[in-house]
Amino acid sequence: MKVLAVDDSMTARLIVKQCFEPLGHTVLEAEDGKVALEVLASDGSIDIVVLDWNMPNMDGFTCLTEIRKNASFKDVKVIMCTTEAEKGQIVKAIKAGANGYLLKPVMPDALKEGVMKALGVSA
Amino acid sequence: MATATMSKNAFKVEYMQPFVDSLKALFDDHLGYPLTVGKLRVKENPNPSHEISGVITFTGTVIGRAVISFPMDVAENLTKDYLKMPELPDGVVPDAVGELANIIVGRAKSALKDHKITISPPTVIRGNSYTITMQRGAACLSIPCKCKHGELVLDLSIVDNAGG
Repeated sequence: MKVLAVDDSMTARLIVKQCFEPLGHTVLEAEDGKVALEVLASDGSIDIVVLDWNMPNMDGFTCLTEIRKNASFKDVKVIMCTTEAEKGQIVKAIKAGANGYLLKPVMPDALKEGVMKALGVSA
Repeated sequence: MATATMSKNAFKVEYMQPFVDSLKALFDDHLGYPLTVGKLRVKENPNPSHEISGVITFTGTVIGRAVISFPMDVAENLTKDYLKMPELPDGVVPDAVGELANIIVGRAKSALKDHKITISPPTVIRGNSYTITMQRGAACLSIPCKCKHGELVLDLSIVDNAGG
C-alpha cells in the first residue's frame, strides 16, 4: 500500500509514517495541498491520501475537491485527518468525496482502522 | 526579543474550561498519563513562563490568543511520547509544540459550539527571554500544569468580539 501524508506539520506526517512504515507500507509526504497534487500526478500509484484541512498554499478541502475533479485520481481514497470537528465540516468533506474523517490527535490504531476501512480491506 | 499583542477587553472566565478540558484530554486520552491542573491566576508578567511556546490566535465571534509554554526538556519528552519515538529527528520538537497547540485550541474551538471561530496556524517562539505584550486593559489568565516530565503553562486571553 502506498500512502500520501499531507500536512504542514512534520509531526503529523511522522505519525502516519510511524503507523504504516513498520508494516511494510510506503509513506510519501506533502506539506500542503498543492504539493500533494504534484506528488499524486508524478507518482501515479498512491492508494490513499491522509489529508489535513488547515494548511498554507492550498488547504485540505480544496485539495480534496481537486482530487475528485481529476479522473486520473478516481481510485485514490482520501481520509481527512484534522482538528476540524464541527458537524458541518465533516458533512462538507464527505459530500465532497472524502472516504473517511478522523479527528486529531489520532491514535495509531484508529488511523490504521480508518485507512483500512476507506480502502475496503480488513484491518 | 520577539513581541506579540494580546486582545483588549474583559476576559470571560467560562471560556477557559474548554481549553483546560482539551489540554487534559490530550494527556489522559492520547499520551496516557495524567496532567495536574493548578490554580488559575491572572497573568501580570508578559513573559511566557518557559523556553518554548506555541502561540495560536483566533478570531470570529470571540477573539484572543492561547499560548502553551514548556521548558525545552518537557517539550522534548512530550514529543517523544506523542510520536512514540525514543530518538527524534532534527527540528521536530518546535513543530510538535505547534501541532500540540493546534490540537488543544482546535478541540477547545469545537467545544465552544455557540461561536464561529477561525484559528491561525501555530507560531512557535523559543528563547530564554521573550515577551508577549498585552494591550492596556487586556486580561490574560494563566494555568500552571504539571505532568510526569515537568511543568507547562497555558496562558489564555479570550473575549467576545463586539464586531463579530
